[in-house]
Amino acid sequence: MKGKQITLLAIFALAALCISSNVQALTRNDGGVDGGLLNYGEYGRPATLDPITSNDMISLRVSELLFNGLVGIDEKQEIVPELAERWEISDGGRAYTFYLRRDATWHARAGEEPLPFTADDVVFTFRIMTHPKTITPLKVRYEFIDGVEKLDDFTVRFRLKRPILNALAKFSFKIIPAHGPANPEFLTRRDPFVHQPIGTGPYMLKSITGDREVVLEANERYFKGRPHVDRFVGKPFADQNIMTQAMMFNAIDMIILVNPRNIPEIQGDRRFVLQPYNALSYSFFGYNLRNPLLADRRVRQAFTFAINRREMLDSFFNGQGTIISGPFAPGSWAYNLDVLPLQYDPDRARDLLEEAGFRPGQDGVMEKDGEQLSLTLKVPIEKESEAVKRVVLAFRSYLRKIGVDVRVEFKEWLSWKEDVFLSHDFDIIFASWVFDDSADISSLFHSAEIGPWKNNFGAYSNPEVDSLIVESKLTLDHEKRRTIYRKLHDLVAEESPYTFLWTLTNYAAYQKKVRHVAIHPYKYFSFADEWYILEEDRP
Amino acid sequence: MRVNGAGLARLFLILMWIIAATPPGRASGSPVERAVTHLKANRYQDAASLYWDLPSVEASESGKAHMILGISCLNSARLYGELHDLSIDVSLNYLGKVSSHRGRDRSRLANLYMAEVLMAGQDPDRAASYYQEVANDPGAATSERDVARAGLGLANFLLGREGRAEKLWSSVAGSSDPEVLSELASAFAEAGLWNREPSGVCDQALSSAGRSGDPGPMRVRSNCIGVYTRAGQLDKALELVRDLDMKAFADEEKLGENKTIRFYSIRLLDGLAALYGKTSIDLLGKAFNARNMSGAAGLYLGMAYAQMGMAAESLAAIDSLNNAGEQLAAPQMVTAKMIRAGALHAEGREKEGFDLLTRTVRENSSDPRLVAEAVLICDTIDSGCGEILAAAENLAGRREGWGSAGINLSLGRHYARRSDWQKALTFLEAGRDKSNKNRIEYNDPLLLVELARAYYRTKKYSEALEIFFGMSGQFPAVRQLQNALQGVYSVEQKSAGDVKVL
Repeated sequence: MKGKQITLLAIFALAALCISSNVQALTRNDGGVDGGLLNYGEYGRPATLDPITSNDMISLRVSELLFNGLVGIDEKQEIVPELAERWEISDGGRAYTFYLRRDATWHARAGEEPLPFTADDVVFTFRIMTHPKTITPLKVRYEFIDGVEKLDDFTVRFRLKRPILNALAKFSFKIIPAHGPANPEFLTRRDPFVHQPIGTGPYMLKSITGDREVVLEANERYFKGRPHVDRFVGKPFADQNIMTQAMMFNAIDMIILVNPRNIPEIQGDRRFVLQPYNALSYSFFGYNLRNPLLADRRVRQAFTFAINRREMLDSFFNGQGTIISGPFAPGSWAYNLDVLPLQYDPDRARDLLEEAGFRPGQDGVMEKDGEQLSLTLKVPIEKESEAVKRVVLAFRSYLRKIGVDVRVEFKEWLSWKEDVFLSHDFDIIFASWVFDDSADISSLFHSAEIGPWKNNFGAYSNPEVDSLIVESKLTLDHEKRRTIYRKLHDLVAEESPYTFLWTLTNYAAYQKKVRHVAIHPYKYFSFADEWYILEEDRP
Repeated sequence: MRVNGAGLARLFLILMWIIAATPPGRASGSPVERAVTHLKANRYQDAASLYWDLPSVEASESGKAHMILGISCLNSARLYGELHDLSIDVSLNYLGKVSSHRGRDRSRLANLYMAEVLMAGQDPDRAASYYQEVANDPGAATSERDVARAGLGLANFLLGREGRAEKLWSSVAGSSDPEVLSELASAFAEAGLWNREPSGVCDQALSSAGRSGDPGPMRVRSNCIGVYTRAGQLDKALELVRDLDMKAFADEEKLGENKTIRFYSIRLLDGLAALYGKTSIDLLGKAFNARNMSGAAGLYLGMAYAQMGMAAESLAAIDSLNNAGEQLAAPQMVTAKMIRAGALHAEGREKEGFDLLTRTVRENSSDPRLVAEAVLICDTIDSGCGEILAAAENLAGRREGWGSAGINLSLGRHYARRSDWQKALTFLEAGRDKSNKNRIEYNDPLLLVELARAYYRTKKYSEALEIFFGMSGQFPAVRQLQNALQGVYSVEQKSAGDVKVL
């Protein structure tokens, strides 16, 4: 207890040293102007707002405004300093020493002075992130780190178990404050911190309104200089068409992801900019292999043969996407171009079901050993757009034609996530993954990633896939890794733990009054501190 | 062989207008009508299949058939030329990365393909050192060393060291390996040594490549397409292309259980560009001689010559229209002036060409099609185009969406050629049909290639890859770009390994 008090005293002493009592905003000299409000529309709302427990894109985007990593990645794919102002790599790529900024501070909680960011926070973040009881999909990504030590208040050293490809980029994980979580040992979704986080980033969480709007305010003390726009407000929408109409009537300034069907309407309006950003994403039907009915690969393949993806894409999304054949997005470096999507072939689907031992029952539903091929498909209600509803209903209809009974259940987002990732109470889900440029599928298909709040929700397990994933992480040879990923694509496509569907067109839309907009294809808001709105364009 | 000399612009923006003006064929669903449909949807490869139906086309439709085919081939030539240029850029980057890997599982073939790309990029000096490394590599297969020697011979020849070139060629002349033979044939053709009968060497390579009907490895076919085209044996080259799997790799190097590298022939794209360019001249010449086609066909013929860097012939084709008293419609007259301006400039009559260009733009400054074309011609002129650019940017600012594709493409290209990638992207994106982002049916394939180039240069690799993914159905030869781009992207991406639920 005494030790803790001394630590706290030391932190406050550092804070006093680092922070002037007369707070002045750090201004930028990049030609932008300060002020204004930016309302952006999200399709759904975030589950948590911290960078460790979250596993959805809406949360990730908020995290990008609130937090920083030791390093960042700029628009030119170069690694740039963030909380670390420089670094050294030694011991043949096994030791990474980071020299930290001395001018970064944590967002102040109400009534408190902001505390300085120090090496303790880095050590704390790594330890809590890798704690066995922490709920996070990140552990698998950092298994290559052996440990971290604080060398002094502003220097930390990570020791790696082995050199890996792109190691430095991995240190872009967001740092959270040691004084943040209520439980300093491990982090769960019950910790108040995950809903009221503080970071070092350009924006501070001000409030979450009764309408679940996330209100963020400019951090006057941001170490790169105060961001230009005073306030960002994330507004959740349950319907993409309404979100588009909101922008048409100037109720919001930006849509993060435009419904493909609304693109012509926005493109034809000179008030708006449509900007592509290629998040590597795809949609899929994922199967729960814990259900013995779905454990047979032939059954899953039959489902893929049974559905007409081209017809669905054309009918429900105006053809604005690409049918895919496997676990990577077509814009990714890892996509195996030789693996072609299975063609719609309901006869082949029926044959496969029969090969798997199913026969039509009296009501036409396939049976095996007296058990009907009757399954539950769960869809998050926030994703219940007209198009998605049509997709899942079409899926049900296609499967009915081959004697499979599918019940569709729309669930509230958080409840859906609990069913899928925690209790694994589903047979089939409809969802989409989004990847960063590394196209890392290890958390989706490695058997070690089966478990609560892990991404291998369907309990897919294949020793060959596991072995290839491990080898891809061990190699330092880019071409070898490409070959392995091509093999993984082929294998996973053949095994069909998912029915891989399509990648849709990704466009953001925003009012022209928002200037200097650069969008990170994955994290989106990485450069938002440089956006600005001229005074004459503000209401 | 490099298509499209520096002097003349690509006069492609008016193509669709003329197609629209072409009278419809009598038989709905005839091969000619199908070709028109394909051409309007930018499916040049599909449209070109009409070539094999020509013998069955009715005499009354022959002129139109030749015209449509000629335009398809002209568009293909231009597209493959652009793809070839971009492929040089991307492949150099990719192969440089592959060959920099050291260790037991390092690639040998990377050096050979690096040399070929450098040759395609007109850099025989650097190519020679890569060829030399392969030729001297005791670990390389005999055929690989011999292929390298043949290439090294050409590099030496182009550097003015003919004696050394002859020595190298002699050292492999006795080979019966079809890949070596085709490499020799390609070298002879490129060196202009027609007395060495490169076509005959190609015949021999193809016949020894396998059984009858099996035209052999990709290297052989790519080389021989180029050789036959240079020799003017277009039918033989087209026959080779007919059944070609254009996405096939030329070599596969296995460097362990989990390391395999595929290499693609850069010559394929160049060969296709040249073949389609020459074929377009041939076909449009026939259309020019057909009744009711001569006016439009003459314009296209002028464009086709321009595309192939044949300025004098381009000028002659346009002048012959005037001399023959052809009654051109007003827009066609303007087009003729533009072709003439470009040809004059390329011929070395810069002032005359520039004056005609400026005058024509002033008279038609509200015509986006024409101004767009003028910007393309300006790309070949170092200065003095401020007025034309200003007119173009003014027009582009007043138009949005796919309807403004032509002018935005021209401006995008203009800034891309000056490495102002952000400005290039702004214009190119403005011209893109965003509802059909990567679909060639809705976007000029050249606009997509320009976008891919700009995204590649700004390291937004996934955007470029998606474009090629979309194009690959109709133009499978983009596979070599996809492979190289994926390779560059895999090295250059710097990400943490994150994945989230959308």
